[in-house]
Amino acid sequence: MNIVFSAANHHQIQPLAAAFVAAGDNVVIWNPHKKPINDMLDEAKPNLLFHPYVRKGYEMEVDYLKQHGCQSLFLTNDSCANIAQFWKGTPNTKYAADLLYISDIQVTQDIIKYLLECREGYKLRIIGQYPVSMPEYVGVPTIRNIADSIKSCNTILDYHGHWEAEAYRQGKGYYCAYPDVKKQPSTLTSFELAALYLNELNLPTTDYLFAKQKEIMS
Amino acid sequence: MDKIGFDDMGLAFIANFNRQNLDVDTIAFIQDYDRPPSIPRFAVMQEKEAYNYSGILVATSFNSAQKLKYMRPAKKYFYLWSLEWVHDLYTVDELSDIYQNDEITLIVRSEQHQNLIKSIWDKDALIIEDFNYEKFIQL
Repeated sequence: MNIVFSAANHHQIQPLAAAFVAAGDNVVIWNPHKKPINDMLDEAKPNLLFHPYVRKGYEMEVDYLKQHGCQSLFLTNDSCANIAQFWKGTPNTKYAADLLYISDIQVTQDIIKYLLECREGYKLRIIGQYPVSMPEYVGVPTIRNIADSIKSCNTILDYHGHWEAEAYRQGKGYYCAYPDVKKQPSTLTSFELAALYLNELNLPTTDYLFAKQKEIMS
Repeated sequence: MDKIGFDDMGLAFIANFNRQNLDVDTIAFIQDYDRPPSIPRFAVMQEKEAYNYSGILVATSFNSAQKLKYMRPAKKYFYLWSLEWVHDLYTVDELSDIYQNDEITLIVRSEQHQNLIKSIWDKDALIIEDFNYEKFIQL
């Protein structure tokens, strides 16, 4: 099967692409800003195209892809296999904190208020690609920094429920600003997530994905 | 130092160190030349000369502290004039490498900053207000 991912640097794309490659599918990472969609369709002839997020004008793109025999799938944070679980992480005394907030969405006044309320009496540590104007913000992390920080903290602060699965997996405390927005904790690994997407398309059950996962993780 | 300029840090530095009879030799290693508030009465050299310096070195900005990491003075200090990591964007590793470096002793300007450094970086810092000369020569 030919699979195309648009946006290589999105944190959900990398483990998912790795899972499909391990399963033996042809995977292409496509940068929509550098290559027109027609060229991509001619070269890759995709069966599936994963979009990391919904963007303006996506409806036309989805229709166009469908006309060329390519089904579109949008990754949502609801079924996010958090990248940190892929890298395990090790505890680091330098990253120790009572509360950890990972700034992975645009910072708003509400988020600042939420953090200011939560930090009273606790050691708060904030990392993430979106800077927060507080002294507790200590820089843009790599994936390994995120994994190590999660391992080194006591409780994960969350705003939209993105890190619930990881908190559950690591046995950490979890406090979310909007707990009723979501769901049961998802403990899907990247391989399981890939299988889920394939099952949604009524393709044969991908037992080989689980076998591959077991082989790589052991 | 990045420079000795006409800003609050430059003014404080010149006011304290521009005294006629300095008890210890003072050298300012600067990256860029700028017009200082008054003529310095101590040696001013280019930053690259600091790599050969074997005395006590004090960095006064995050930029100079990153270079201090690779120098070999007798002692390394980082004087936090302001909380630079709050205003500029750095990676976790870059900040941790400097603020949590065992070789670099942090100096702050107030007790409030000292508490903040302890809370965020889990490190004890000395307090010297506004380049106080008497306290500096005790280092």
